[in-house]
Amino acid sequence: MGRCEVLALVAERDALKRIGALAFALVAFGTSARADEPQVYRSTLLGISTTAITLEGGATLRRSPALGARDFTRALGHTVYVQLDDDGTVTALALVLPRHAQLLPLADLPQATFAIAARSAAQQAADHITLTIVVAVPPRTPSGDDVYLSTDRTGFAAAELRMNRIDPLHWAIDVPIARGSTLVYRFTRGSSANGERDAAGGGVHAHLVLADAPKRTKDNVASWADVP
Amino acid sequence: MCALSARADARTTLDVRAGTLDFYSDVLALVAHDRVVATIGGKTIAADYAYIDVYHDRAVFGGDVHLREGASDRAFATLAVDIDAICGTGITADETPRILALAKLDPRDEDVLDALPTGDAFTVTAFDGRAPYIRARHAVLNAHASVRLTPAAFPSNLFAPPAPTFLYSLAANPNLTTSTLPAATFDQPLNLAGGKNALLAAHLRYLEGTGGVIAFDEHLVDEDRAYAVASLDAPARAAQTLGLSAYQRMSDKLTQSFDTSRSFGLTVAHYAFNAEVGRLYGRLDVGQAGASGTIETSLRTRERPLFGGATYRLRAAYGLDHNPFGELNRAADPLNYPLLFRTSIQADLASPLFHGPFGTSVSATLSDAQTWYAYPRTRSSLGSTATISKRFSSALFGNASVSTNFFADDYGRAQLKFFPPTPVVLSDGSTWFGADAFRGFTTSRTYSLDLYLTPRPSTDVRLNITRTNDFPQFNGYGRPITVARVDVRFRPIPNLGIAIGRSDQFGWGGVRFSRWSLSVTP
Repeated sequence: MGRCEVLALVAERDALKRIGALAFALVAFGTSARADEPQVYRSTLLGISTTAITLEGGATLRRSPALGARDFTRALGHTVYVQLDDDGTVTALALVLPRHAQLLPLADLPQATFAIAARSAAQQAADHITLTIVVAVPPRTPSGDDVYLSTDRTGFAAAELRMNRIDPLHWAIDVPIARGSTLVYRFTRGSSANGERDAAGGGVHAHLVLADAPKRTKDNVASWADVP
Repeated sequence: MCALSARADARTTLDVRAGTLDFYSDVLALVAHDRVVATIGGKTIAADYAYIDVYHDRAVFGGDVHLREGASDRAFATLAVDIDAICGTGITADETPRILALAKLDPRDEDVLDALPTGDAFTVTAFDGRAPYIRARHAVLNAHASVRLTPAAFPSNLFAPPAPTFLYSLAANPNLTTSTLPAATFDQPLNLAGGKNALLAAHLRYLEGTGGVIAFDEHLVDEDRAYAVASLDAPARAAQTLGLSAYQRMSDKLTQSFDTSRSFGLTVAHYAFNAEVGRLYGRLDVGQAGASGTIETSLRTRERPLFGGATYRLRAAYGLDHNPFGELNRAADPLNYPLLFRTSIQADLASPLFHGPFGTSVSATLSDAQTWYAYPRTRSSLGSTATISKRFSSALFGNASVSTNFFADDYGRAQLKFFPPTPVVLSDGSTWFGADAFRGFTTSRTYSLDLYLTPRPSTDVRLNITRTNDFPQFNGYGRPITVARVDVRFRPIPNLGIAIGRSDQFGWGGVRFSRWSLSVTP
């Protein structure tokens, strides 16, 4: 059994473990890359034709005949690892990172390699960033109660995420979120009956933050519904 | 993509059918696989894969993509669509791929572009086997309003049975999910109908002591200005509960709310009116619980600076209590007092945040209140709380607090009539004669220690040990002297929260461990 076939079998086994029914046939890595450490690029597969492969962000690479006539339909929308030959054509495609492969950013590829170059394809990736949300609570907040973050991601479930008490009057939480999305949130003490209120006891607008970069927000709760 | 085209005023509808259609509510994305057919603005798009960004109203189609209108059919390797403007950008499946702009998403009206347009038209998220919130085969997206998924299965929630249909509201309005349903061990909402300003939902619930029940609620909202929620829980069961909650912001300085519920034959209602009056906050409360009612008007100051960062506030109230059966204990006073007026004042003091040794931080509050009733009676309370916190690491936090409260219910010369020596029969059948000393003066002291471990934002463990020292308090009567409790909360996926807890009260009243508490929430 050749090394490339072993690689394919290992990758297939891992894929089966990781994605179960979504596992599909993998293509053996080509022979043009260095045998000991193939270089691969990670992206999300959007489209594939007989001559080209379109990746996340619209980046389109030429497809080598060596890739074969396999059906990649089930790989669409999934993370894939592509290997190129010296001419910049895609010779191999896999769902899991092959062992001993060297993972490189897609942005490292020369623009001339692309049939269609995405704008900063690597930067466009919808990766996750962390928002740190800090809230100051009123001094008369019951000392045994926890403060929760309630967001639009769960339809404002009142006890969605318990925050961390960083001092008697401040709570904080790190929220991983897709870059570019918006988080709408409110603070509660675990139920909608003890949600935040303004100083006069009236309802408050939901807080909103754009997750364009890792950032730290600071909010104030003026009063609680049950502790005016 | 279509960057220069204005957004359509009318709401666009995108209809998608596919072999598998997964909805990820935390990023508001629909991912379709297997024979994807979408229709928008009279055009049909067939593809092997689609990623629909519900929040930004854009879609990416991949695989063998065909854009059709009438007899026209244009093939693409990838097609990005702006759902609002009904325009698109396609990458052809030609030997030399080209970029085509489709101004009206018309396969007969295309322009060749030199490069991909600016924007995130082809940006997608790969979920790679992560279980979706809802899996369906048909989705109808009403831009900026809602997504209806049919039929709806919940692969990430083993407790939730599939539903014929589910409506997910895109209105990021907390008022649309304000609940008047009582707390439940398990609650799976199934949104049936609605849009940006209304939502009708059924709830599959499990109530401790009652079992599995169904509930319904209807929400009406007017942005942040007003909402009304009506609910019916456990219909035709003994635990049936009706609820209504309404809120209105009338101006920057005026709000009002009304809440009522009926369960086990008892109706409870409460109306509140809040007003900002100059530098003061005014409030009117009207409450009714069965035959008893209260009315109270109050004024309080804002939080005012005192010295060194400390603050204070004052509150005064005037109200009346009504009970047709008498407000006072008839055994103590045979006269019937169905109506009693009262006047109260309260002063609250809050310390600034102190930074202590070893990275600790400390704050304290003090509160004193006095109420005078029309009947010769005064009720006094004095409470204080001191809290100290320490952060040990990014995932480990500690918190300790000491609270003391003193209450005095003073009837003057009639004190012994209202609080005669009364031995207490304890839960083990024995008698506690120490309760004879109780004359309406209550003391409670609470010492609490918490440790929080938060390895991930969606996972946390809380350990709590609470000691109390009260009067009256004896074996099984009053609060347990020592309680240790552990609570574990985690979210295996963004739409499923599980909380498990248990406490040990060390044999207080013959009870050692509490039952496990379990809560499964969206």
